[in-house]
Amino acid sequence: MKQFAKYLGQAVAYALLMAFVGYFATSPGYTYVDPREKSVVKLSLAHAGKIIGECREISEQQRKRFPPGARIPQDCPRERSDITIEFNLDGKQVFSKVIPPTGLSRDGAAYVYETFVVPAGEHQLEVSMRDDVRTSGFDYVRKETVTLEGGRMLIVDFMPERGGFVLVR
Amino acid sequence: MATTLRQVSQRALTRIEDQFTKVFGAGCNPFFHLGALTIYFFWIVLVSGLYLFAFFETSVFGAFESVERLTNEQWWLGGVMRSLHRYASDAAVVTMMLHLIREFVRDRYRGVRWYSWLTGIPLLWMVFLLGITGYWLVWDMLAQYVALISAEYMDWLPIFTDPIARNFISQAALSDRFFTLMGFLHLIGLPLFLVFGVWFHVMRIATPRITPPRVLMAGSFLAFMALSLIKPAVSHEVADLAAVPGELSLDWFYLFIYPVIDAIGPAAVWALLTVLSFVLMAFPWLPRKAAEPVAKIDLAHCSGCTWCANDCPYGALTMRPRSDGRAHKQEVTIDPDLCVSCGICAGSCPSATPFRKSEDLTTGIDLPQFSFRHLRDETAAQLARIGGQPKVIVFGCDHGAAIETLRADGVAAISMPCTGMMPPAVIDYALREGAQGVVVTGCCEGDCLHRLGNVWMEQRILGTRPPQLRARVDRDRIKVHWASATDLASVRQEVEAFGKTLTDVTPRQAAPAKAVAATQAEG
Ligand code: HEM
Repeated sequence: MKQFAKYLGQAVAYALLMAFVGYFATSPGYTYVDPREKSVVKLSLAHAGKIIGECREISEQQRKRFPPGARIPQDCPRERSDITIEFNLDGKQVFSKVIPPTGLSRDGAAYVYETFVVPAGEHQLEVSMRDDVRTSGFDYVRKETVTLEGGRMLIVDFMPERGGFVLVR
Repeated sequence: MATTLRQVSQRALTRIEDQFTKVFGAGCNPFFHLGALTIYFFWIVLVSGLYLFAFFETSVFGAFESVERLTNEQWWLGGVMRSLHRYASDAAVVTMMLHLIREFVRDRYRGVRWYSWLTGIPLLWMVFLLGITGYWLVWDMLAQYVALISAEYMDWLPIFTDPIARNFISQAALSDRFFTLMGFLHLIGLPLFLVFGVWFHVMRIATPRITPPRVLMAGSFLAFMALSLIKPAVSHEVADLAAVPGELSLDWFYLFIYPVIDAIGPAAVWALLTVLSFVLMAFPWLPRKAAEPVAKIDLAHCSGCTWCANDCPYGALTMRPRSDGRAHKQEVTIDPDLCVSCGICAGSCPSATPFRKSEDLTTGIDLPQFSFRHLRDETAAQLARIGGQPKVIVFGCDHGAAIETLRADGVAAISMPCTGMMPPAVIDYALREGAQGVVVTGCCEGDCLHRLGNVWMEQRILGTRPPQLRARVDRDRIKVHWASATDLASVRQEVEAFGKTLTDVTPRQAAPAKAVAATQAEG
């Protein structure tokens, strides 16, 4: 092959490499959630259910058998309740689950993390939770009408110190 | 079925490679240097990365700004470095994947070579993780997307109680914790792993090719530079946890898995990647390569010269102190787990002289399935059988052009497992047994299936590597022409053209070894 043709061929090969790498480094574009039409609601919370069972008094006699540092007056159970969560969007139930506490002794918090992609615009949200297996009905409920902008996120979180469910934008 | 599939894909690959050989020349064909090119691209990544790091703020709140400043205010150096960093990494994925496909298609992953294959798989993972963590560090909307989906993906595993994803949904929850982890992985952890990983990967290979030819280094560097100037790497908008990542310019080389997670969910992707990794890892045993007999040592003929140990492309031969009481200091030993049965050692053994009178012609080291004795006897037999003038004998290998089809009046042809297994004295022998010319062929230059067979052969003929072809052998009667499996035509042409030059060759006294180089340069 002529020397010139060789160099030309090499130039073509490098140009192809550049085109291939250059193109796929950014293209084709990918749309995760279309910001013009959709927004996202996330149900995301961590909550420790009520402790199950009553504390038991430990008598003087029994206490003496423990080492001095461990002579507590009461023996309290550590197990916590499951939490029950329901989430309704525009009157339709989209999520309903009983979530066990974490931890080997079932003494940790229960976690929820769920994503709902919804059309942008006005929505009715209703979220309810029971955190005590001994009661019925819901201990916390929040109903709200919200207007969601496209491409924005709304977090439904739970903060007992702020009175229960909170909506974070 | 599998065999035909392999043959078809092998031919297709070779055809593509032939085109590159035409353009780049065999020595600089990028397909013959894919592993080395990958390493070189990572060098570019390392150097440009160090520069970026000097200006980078490793905190989730300062990162984006620092990258923006570098990209815009210092586009002429910082921006170019950033683009080089990105494009060289992308190209490394291309060469790495081609390297994987090529080793597979050429059946260089089974048998003894399982080791290189298996140690390649973790490299695959590490490379992708390196890219992903890199995109995380920019902390733009793309990084936010990568962080969020990665977290959701990891959360599927039942090992985390508190979902990691909760860290990436509100500015309040965001901490430097993950950012620092990603910084560590990207800047120190994964690069270190890669360095050691590559070292492990090539450990069983003698003199691995880890540096590509200069021309390829220069060419690809210029290509990356040009691309960096034409299409500089830029960020998305700054990450905003109250917003949902929308339209993204994905780097498909590294981030292709994210849309897949979106589409089929974390569980399916975990299953897919796990199964894929295990299947890939099991490849060398699916099915296993039929074990070929390994090289056989005969200490009675071994003088401990070290030549075969120096020549073995897989480091299967080592020298140890003499064990049989003979006067020599050392003897060679073989590790059968490393021997690929190429026979190159047989070609380097000084005891392999075809002129020896001994009946059995045993040599210090030999390949049982294609012994030195067989090679000599076949040479003599074919030369005695063929008629015509001038007589040419072609020596080639089973992986280059199918030279048996060239047999004709005046042309003998012997194909062996690797041309490198032929002691150069056989050329001398063939000329004395009636051949007027000897053609040596085998896998394409720079691309011996057994890595070094054609290199050693050439050096032995040139007299720069022992065992040397005797100086008095007339180099004008020798033609060296390497050719790929699909390039039988060029071998045929060479044989015919060479035959014509032989009619007026009369035996000469010692011709300078350089003559061979000259004949090759012409071809
Ligand atoms: C960072 C990525 C990688 C780099 C830098 C790399 C580099 C190399 C180098 C330099 C060699 C030696 C080539 C020679 O001198 O002949 C080699 C051989 C090899 N590589 Fe890789 N490699 C990588 C990934 C992989 C992967 C993912 C696989 C497949 C799973 C793989 C499979 C092999 C095999 C089978 C060989 C042995 C070939 C033989 O025995 O002749 N490599 N690699």
